[in-house]
Amino acid sequence: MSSSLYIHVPFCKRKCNYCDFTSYAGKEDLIQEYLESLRSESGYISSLYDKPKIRTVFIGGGTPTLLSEENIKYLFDTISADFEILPGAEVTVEANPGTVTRDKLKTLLSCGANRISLGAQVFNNKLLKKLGRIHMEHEIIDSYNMIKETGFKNVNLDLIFALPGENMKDWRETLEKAIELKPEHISTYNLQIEEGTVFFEEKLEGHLSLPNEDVELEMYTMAIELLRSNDYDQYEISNFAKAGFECEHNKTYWKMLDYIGLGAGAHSYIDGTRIENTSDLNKYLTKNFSEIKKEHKNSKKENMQEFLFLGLRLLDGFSLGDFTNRFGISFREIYRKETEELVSDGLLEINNKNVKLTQKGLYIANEVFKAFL
Amino acid sequence: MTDISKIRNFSIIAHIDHGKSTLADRLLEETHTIDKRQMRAQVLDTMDLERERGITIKSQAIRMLYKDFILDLIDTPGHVDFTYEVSRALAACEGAILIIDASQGAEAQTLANAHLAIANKLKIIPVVNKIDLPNAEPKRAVEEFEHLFGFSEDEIILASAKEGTGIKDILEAIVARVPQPTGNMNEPLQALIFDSKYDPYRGVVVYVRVVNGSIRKDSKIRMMGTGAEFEVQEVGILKIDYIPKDELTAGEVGYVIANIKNVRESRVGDTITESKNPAKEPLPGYKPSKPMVFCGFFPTTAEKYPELKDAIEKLQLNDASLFYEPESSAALGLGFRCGFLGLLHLEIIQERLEREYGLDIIATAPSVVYKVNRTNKTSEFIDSPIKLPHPSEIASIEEPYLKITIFCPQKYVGAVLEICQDKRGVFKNMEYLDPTRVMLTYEMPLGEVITDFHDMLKSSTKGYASMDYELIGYRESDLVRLDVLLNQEPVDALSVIVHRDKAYYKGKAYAEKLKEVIPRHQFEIPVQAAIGSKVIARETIPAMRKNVLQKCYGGDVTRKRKLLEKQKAGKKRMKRIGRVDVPQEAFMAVLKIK
Repeated sequence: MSSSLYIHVPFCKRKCNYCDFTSYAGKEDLIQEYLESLRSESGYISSLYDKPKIRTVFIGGGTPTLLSEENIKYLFDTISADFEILPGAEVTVEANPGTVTRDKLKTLLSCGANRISLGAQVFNNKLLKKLGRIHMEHEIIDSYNMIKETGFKNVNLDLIFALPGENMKDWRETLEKAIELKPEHISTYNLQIEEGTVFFEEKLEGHLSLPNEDVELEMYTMAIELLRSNDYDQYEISNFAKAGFECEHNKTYWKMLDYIGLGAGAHSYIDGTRIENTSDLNKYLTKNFSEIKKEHKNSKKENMQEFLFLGLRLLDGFSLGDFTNRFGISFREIYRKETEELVSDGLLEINNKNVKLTQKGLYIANEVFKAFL
Repeated sequence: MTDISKIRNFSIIAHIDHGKSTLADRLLEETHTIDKRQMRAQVLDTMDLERERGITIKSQAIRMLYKDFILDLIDTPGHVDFTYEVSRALAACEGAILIIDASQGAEAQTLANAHLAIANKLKIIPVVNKIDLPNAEPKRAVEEFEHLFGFSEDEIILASAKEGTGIKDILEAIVARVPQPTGNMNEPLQALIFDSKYDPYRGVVVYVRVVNGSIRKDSKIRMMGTGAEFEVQEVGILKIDYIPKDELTAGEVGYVIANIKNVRESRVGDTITESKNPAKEPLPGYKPSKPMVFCGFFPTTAEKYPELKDAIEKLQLNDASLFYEPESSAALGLGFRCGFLGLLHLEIIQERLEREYGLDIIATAPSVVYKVNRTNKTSEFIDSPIKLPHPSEIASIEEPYLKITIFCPQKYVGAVLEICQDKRGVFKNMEYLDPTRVMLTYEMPLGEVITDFHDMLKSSTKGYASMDYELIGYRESDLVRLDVLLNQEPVDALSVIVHRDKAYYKGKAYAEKLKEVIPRHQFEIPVQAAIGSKVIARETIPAMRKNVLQKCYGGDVTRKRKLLEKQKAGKKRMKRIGRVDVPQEAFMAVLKIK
């Protein structure tokens, strides 16, 4: 089999105010133990699937660049021992300003990483502080330059918009500053307030002034226009790339191909089964995999639904032929009623080959996705 | 046969939260009716809802033994909606403990309940409760007892049910002051029904006070009000469980099981007699309960109609005052028009349908019963705005009026007067209870009281005002129907009847409120308020502009699915009218207009 590989590093210097990912602050002393646990999970998966071939690797977090050079080498040794990384594989590592050093970057490069995704978030010191980030605006630029100088030819910048207190001018500045750095790839995420975060509490107490739906949309459309006019092609709801630099790893998710997730809170999709690892760090460290992993074998219906709401995130949508090959039934046949309504509402476009969102459909994609659930 | 001279039947009456249930708990403990191990707070409130809301909805009774006396405590519902039930429970007693909270003083229901007790010729034992509280002013409460009811200071017992102070004094007072029942064992049977409840295994259990004669197993009985006849299967007394006995005799409180299928056949206030030797007259005071407030219940999806029907039927088994009949709305489809004793009763039923039967229902705004006098000289009662005839056929409309009594601190009088004025109240009287508190009397349309009157009263007096009311009859008012159009389509279920003077203002505020509570759709939705064919207000719900999940959490598709499913479930709880999904709040929006 060939698959993608995701590795989760759940450590951070501090937890950001919007973050509800699996990440722990102040637990750096557990990093080595965690990497050992990862190694046994990796070995377990490797023998289970007979040393899988890997097309893309993504090391995400948390903050993978919190790892020391020793840690990094240890982690890559694990990967190369247990998996067959295919030639030309995209190998991404997430990095956060304030934790990036030249030596770490050199180590990453020599270990085989060829893409860095930098968590810039916003080019505005006041907003960075509001988000609870550990870095300032100039550190984003310093980190970015270091990455390029080390020799990375494929860099992504993560940006977030619709932040508390952010206005159109702020967001435009962030976009312009990001574009000025000329990264190969830019992701723009609309801030969502998730339960269990600092922002969630502040919102409950009424202390968070967020842009309204109309401003959010304006921010989103401005991003699309500004990025397009600078040769960033929007290929997914939140993702933009220069020609030839689309993120292969993320496309794995949207095309619903197989991926293996290792580490606390990581997710896998293997052969129609979704697997979720515990996000409890201590539980993960026990290496008791029957306890750590929760499996759900998707029904055919679930697979179809997910294929649709993932595939439609891509601007090209999905191909009718792929749907038929995959499920042995025609999309038009089973979703006739839903499709007719969505097309007549101007949310969905369908031709002989493909089904995709319209521009309007892009803005209210959830309404389309829900129709198929 | 039980020695009638050793029986004391009594009730505890109080304003809500003055400590009725806690005092009942202490009496049960002190008389060892319940041991400490079984004790949980508010033993007599059995329904979850009762515990949560801290109120008694159904009456309960329990027998205690104290020295060589039998004390039958009849607990009464604690809300103005259930005034008739309270009055029947009191009619089954000879005495009542009247509680005043030492920190609050007398409140509107203190007075209303005391008047009911006096009307039933009960011996009243005044108790000042919660004297342990730091802000307690027992002296003021004592003065109020003296001033309002003419008690002398030495009659008044100071107590703290929470700490157990004064409990012995209360028990002694019950024995010494409450008279023994006056019934005659040898007369034909007369037993007063003061409550009944449906038990799925035993059928209806009827709670009675035997006034004359006796009732025993196997005897044939007749309900004098409804004429229904039954054969008694079991009689007994009420402890924590049912304790069967051979017979209940004059003066006793107990239960009767007689293969009764529905509580409507054993109505509160009715008299049970023996078929072969019936009493000449029923006991006084029976009147079938009459619903005051109506609303429609509709399933959110049509296929749930049979489930809703089933659930309402089941609830009615245990609630004779719940009225229902099928209703058909052009906008909401098939449902039920239900009648209630009051707003609380309505809320309880709605909550039970949702909670106990897991139904998603749409309740329409509560309405009162209007009397419509037609131009052709006929008149009729209508319980729904939908049923209002065409304006050209209406000569006049009458609506129910209440006499409403409000107790509040003197410094809030201005605010209260303003609210009452705004709710079309007619000022009748103002009386000082003491230098700092007043009692206001108003006459007001019931239709105004069932909106947000009580909430407004509470919020404008920092929670200090209390109120009570009674129906005083119908009066003519200049009323019109306000209709709502959503997306150009009239929605009958959103129609309301309002006073003509306020129609424009209300129409505008109603449209604004609807705009607030109806979520954005993929298209723009005009909201219009109209009187007849004349549109008087228009708002527009803008089209939804953005709803898209952004981040793909490292392949966590399950989470994305859950988010979408949650959004979709939210939509399911709404009612689709035409192409518009309307949430429950929209149907209550008219009540939230300031």
